Amino acid sequence: MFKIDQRSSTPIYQQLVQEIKEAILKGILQPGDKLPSVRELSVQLTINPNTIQKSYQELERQKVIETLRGKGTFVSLNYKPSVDKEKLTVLKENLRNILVEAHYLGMKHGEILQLVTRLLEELNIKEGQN
Amino acid sequence: MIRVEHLTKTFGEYPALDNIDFEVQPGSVFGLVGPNGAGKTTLIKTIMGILLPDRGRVLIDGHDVHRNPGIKARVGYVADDQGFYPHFKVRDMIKFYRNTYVNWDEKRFQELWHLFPLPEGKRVRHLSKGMRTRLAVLLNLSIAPAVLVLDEPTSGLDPVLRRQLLNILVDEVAHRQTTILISTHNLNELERICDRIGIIHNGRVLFNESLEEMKQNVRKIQVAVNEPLPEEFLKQANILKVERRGRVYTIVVRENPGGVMAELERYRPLLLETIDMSLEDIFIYRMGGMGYGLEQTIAQ
Repeated sequence: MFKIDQRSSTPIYQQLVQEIKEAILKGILQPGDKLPSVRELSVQLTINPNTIQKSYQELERQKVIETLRGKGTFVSLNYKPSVDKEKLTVLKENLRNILVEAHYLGMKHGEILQLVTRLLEELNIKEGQN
Repeated sequence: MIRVEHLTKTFGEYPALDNIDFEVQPGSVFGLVGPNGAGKTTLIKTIMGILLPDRGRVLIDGHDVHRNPGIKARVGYVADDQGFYPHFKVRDMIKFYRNTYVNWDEKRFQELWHLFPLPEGKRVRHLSKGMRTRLAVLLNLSIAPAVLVLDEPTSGLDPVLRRQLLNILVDEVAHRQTTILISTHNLNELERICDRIGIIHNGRVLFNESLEEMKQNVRKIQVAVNEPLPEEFLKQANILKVERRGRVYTIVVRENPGGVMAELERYRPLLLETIDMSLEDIFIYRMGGMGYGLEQTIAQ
């Protein structure tokens, strides 16, 4: 259920942290759900158990999951997913690419700003609101 | 845990192992890679106490392998050429292990036999290479080893069996905290299962790093600029390799990629991005940076 790309520059343990958070964000894993044990997950993904342990520790530190002694690891009941930094970076990167393209299409600074303002109006996103 | 101290071994004039030091922490997986003839098998055979070192020593759980060979009862060894008696039948080989190893775990053996069934009545010499490896893995896991040493265990296995073997190894670490030393040519399979990796070349262990450190530090950056980048910028010590095609530069950075990216921003790049690198790429570049012409030898 989790996808690991060993060729990525992102360390495997961080990928797993992301994957688990994403599963929670999408509702595939819900608060109170039990996560597979380190052993189960390491065999399922063919990944070193120490790496899985590290991901779980990181998620625990971020209070995304909690371990109950002798019972297992669960998604925290009071975990609220928030926009995370990495996604914001990707978004910024995408926006940047769009702006580069707009520039090459001959759009002027003012035109781009106007377009953004109009789109925000269309989407009914007002100042001071999120 | 395995601890190798100042291990040196020469064959005649030829230095096979040149003052090697490293440690494999309990419950961790150490991957040993290197081209043919680098000294992998010599190192493994010395660790196993089969070869005597000229200098240095090998400690397994604190016991010197060459002085206390008894410790080998707790070390599983899957050799490149398994030392099975060729005329033995599979069932005789099993009996041999069962009677030799004091820690033989019949329950574990039955579990594994179920996963890896083999023709009991066949003679070892009639088994294929892959089957002999399976038999060796089966027997060596059944002795409940504290340390497991595997010399290219995946060569000769088909993809399904290879995956199954790696799964058994990770389960062994997860379940029994076995310490594993594994040598291989296939860097990509190591990426998933190893804690640390050492590369052996000309009888020396050149790098001994965690995969994370390696992946975080070595990055490939692609940058396109209108004005050529100044020579002195490209001559920085942490830049391993620069390739230029027109406006586009490909720069491989050994450490602090963030800093280099920030500096590149100042040259008003048309494009600036990092490209993912596989472990294999990383090794090739790092070895290249050390002045070893390994491009042809590790890349497969």
